[in-house]
Amino acid sequence: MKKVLVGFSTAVIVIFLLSVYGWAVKHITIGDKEMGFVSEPIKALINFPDLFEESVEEVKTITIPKTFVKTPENFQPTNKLTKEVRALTTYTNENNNRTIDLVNLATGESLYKWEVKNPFADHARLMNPIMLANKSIVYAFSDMDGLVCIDSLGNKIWEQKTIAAHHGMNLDKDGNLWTCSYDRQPPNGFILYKAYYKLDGRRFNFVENTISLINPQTGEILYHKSLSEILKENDLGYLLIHSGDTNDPMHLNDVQPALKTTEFYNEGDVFLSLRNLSCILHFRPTTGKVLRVIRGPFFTQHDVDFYDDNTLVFFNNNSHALWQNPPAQWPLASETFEVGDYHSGITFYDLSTGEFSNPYDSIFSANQIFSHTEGLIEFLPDGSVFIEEQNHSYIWIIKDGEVLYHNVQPSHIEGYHHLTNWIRIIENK
Amino acid sequence: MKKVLLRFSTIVVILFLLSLYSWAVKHVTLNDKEMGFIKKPIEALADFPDLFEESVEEVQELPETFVKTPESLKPINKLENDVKVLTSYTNEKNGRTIELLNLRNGKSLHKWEMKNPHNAHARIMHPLLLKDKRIVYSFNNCDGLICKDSTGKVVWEQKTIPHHHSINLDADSNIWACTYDRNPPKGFVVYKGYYTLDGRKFGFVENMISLIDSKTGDILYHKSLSKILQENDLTYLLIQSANPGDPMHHNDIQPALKTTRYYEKGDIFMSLRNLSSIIHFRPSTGKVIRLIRGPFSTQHDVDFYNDSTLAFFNNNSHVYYEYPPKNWPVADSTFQVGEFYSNVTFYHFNSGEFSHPYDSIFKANKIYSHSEGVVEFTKDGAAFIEEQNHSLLWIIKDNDVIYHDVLPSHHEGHHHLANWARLIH
Repeated sequence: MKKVLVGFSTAVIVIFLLSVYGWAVKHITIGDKEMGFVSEPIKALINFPDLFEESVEEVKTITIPKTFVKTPENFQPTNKLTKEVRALTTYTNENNNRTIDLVNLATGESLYKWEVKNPFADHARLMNPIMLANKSIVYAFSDMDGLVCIDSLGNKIWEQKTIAAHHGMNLDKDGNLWTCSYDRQPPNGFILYKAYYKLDGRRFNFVENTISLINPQTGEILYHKSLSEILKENDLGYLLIHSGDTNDPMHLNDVQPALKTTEFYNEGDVFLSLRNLSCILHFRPTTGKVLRVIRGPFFTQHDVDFYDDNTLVFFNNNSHALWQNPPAQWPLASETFEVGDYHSGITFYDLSTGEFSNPYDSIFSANQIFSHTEGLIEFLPDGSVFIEEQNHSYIWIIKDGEVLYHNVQPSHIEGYHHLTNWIRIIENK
Repeated sequence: MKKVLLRFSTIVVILFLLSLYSWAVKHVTLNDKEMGFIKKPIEALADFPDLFEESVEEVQELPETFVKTPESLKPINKLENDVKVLTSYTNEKNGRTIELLNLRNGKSLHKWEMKNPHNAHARIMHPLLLKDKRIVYSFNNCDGLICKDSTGKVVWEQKTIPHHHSINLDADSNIWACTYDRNPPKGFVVYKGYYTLDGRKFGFVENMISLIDSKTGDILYHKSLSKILQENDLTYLLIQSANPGDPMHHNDIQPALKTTRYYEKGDIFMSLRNLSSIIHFRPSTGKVIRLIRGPFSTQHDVDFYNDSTLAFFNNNSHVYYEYPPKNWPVADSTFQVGEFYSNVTFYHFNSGEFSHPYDSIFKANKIYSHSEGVVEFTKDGAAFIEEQNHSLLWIIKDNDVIYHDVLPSHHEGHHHLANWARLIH
């Protein structure tokens, strides 16, 4: 009897201790209770199996950096291109450096290459480099460093490291370069929680984004402005509360300058794509005024371009701001119905009517084209559209409802292709 | 040496098992991995201390239908005219009282008492006063609608649909109510609609709208909000919601009582909190006439301010209650982009523009409700505001607070949780 009692008591104590410990783990995971000194040791225990799994995965993939993407076994390329399509690509080369490669997609032929040493992490990316006259190149290690300009032989012409660059770059009418940027704050780096808003007395610091205009001959900064200040000066701070990510509420990913004056914008205006606000701002740097906030049936978009004088076009990721996993055990009704089947798309915005259209919806759905983050489109002179489905790193060219081209950037690692880094289509001149 | 080795091995094994257990608790909490049969036992273990704490608190503390009154609360009453409001609260018998009050003098004008067959926190929200002091109410999110006469006798019951949030009368004196479908035996809050995004299936809470005959309780119209969105090519909105499980969160139906240049008698305006949108819908055709989105967030209580203007309580809040992280790498020099509280937003049909004339007085008085909230206008142009989360009542006129108080309760130091007090004209 005593043994039974001792056994029972021990079981109760063990279950009680497990329960208290489980409770502590739960609240450390949620982050809603202060656990003091026990927090870090428990975190180490919690995360150990995941770290172990990650390490095993890393070993398994023979330290293949995330700049490579596994190619699906059933992947079938398509190439019906009859004309040259020149694409400025970047990828991790065999020396673990970066190659910027001007490729003709029709033949797969490399037309010109630049090699750039990688002083950063294995996963560091050269995103959306820009080719200037005489094959000089401006590039940045996105989110890590400033801009660098090299000539056709790879010799450095200038560097601009007082700001850090990220996402897209675009040339304006005068040949100057607009870039998404961050302010620097040595020695802490550059992604700074510089601005904040207060809601009901609670202070929400958030990631600051800046926009910069760079002289491509010298690298000199011609214009540099905080996006938070733009919002504040235009009474648009309320937008921050709408963001799906309080930590990084804006997430600027493109600055598209207007190259001429039309009925709807002036030369020198810029269109700013803010992913986490699912909105595009029409901004006039000369006056500091936001002329239009474009919001509508599109979400977490990227890459705003001009389709014609009165139409904008952009890659509509059509995704949640934060990656969502559908909960597995929801109490579903006995009868359910589907309200929609969504993928990414291309959205056109008519500046004259304020209306939106999505003419590529059916072909995106048919081919299940979706990128939760990033993504790019570019219309070619023959009316076809080039699409970078970035997360899967698939390249598409679509014309008249038909896929003319579908491929990946093949890599030197078998079974893997290169992560795409915002390929730029280079027009034949 | 053997003993040392044995102890060391035991410690390693225990740490390994603890680590595995911690990992399982983490993923059960985050619900991001399939855990099979061990999920429930782990949940039970990890949740037990919280349940225990809650139980102790429940025993020690009052139900959530009472709110701690701030010691700094200084009531204001400069009312010169009667202001009649229909309130509801938990009475001394733990039942519910619906009470018609005159805020000017605190006098009770009429009371109805209801037994509470539900949990201690069950709320009667936004009851409706009909002719001859008949009352229509529901236990919000718990049950269907009930109509009682002035003496408390049941006139009708409509329990085939559970009700939630608001109730409003249309021009024909029928009742528009936010509802759910029932799905016995599981209850009623069911994930009926779903959308597929990139092949992933997102089931979500279905909201219904119902028109009820105020004399009989018969359902005259009943429609799914998902179907309305689907039939009007608006389901893309669901992806934008920060809450995929409850993307719409319908909280009000305001029927148009007459035809104007901007809407027809019988049209309704529906407030969808988690989409920060108001939908102008015409039940006679099934068409969404206008989707109203703008400088407001997680709003409640849409009303007509005049023939060309809507007014509503702009909570101005995140969809989820957010805690600012503590350990962000803040820059040496920072600047404030804005300071926000809730406010009253006006939407002008003629221009499509918005205005917030009460912004400064809301800020000055720090009026904020993360969820819920009511605004109504008295005949003399004053704004009656229920700051629901703190359960503070305000009447503001010409930028001056002419009334500010709580609904006092029988528990010292606590006032009643406000349940969408209704201004009776």
